[in-house]
Amino acid sequence: MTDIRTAGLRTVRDQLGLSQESLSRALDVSARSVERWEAAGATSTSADVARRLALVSEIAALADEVYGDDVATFMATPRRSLGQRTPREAMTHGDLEAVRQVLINALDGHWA
Amino acid sequence: MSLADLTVRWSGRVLRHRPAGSGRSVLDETYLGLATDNRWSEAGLRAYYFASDVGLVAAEHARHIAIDVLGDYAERLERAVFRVPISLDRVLRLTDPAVVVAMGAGPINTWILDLARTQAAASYLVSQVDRLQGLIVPSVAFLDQPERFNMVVYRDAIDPAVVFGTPVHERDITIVSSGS
Repeated sequence: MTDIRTAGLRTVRDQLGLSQESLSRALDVSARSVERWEAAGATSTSADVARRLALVSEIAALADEVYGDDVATFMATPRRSLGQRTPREAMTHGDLEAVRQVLINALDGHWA
Repeated sequence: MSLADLTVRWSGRVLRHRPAGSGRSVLDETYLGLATDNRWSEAGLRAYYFASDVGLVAAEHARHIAIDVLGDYAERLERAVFRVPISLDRVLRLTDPAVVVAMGAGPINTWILDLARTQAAASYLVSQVDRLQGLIVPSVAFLDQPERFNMVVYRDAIDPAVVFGTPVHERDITIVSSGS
């Protein structure tokens, strides 16, 4: 088991416009777990869930850096690189790496 | 003539951009080499990209967005453009047909739109030319204007403290692109 801080989880979830239900699917845990973690500020969980939580936090930080006030538009815009899904839909299906990749591709600029 | 014999020195000022308001340096290395859609570096090959002019910056970024975002949708991005002094000792100019011939390839405009091929060509050049620091390549957004170019600098072949001067903020731009 891995000890993690979840104090900022609600902020991250709000920033990405995800419901507790959507975030729970992204993390492959129950919605009740998300609710409990947001209230508690810390938890102990599996290494895989801890990795997914770190990815969600990184996605939120990257989305804020790249899109600023337009994160909501980004999350609701379907993309070919996500199989014609929106980032919100891709995350809800647990495809966090693909959403992270979209943001990394945009961060340093698209070139040539 | 070998490819190594065709390398040249190059120095000048070129443009690179980041999200406006980003706290990172325009030369930040955190995510270098992790992008998958850059034309002259496969994922894993750390490369800085630069542009000769701000119109090229906007056109190339918008072009990629238009390809990825579905029709009826649009994106609006605020980007901060920096001018970066660069001085390199070993660069190949793929804007020079003689270099492309030395690679054993056909005219560059016949294959530059094939992302897998350009990425493979870059890996080939890095592997074949000792200490190759970078490429000067045509912009796919302006294939009819060879004086407008991209500069690709391979991070693992340079010392950034020696090669790069201090970036200077040039201007902020707004890129609006709709899906195709």
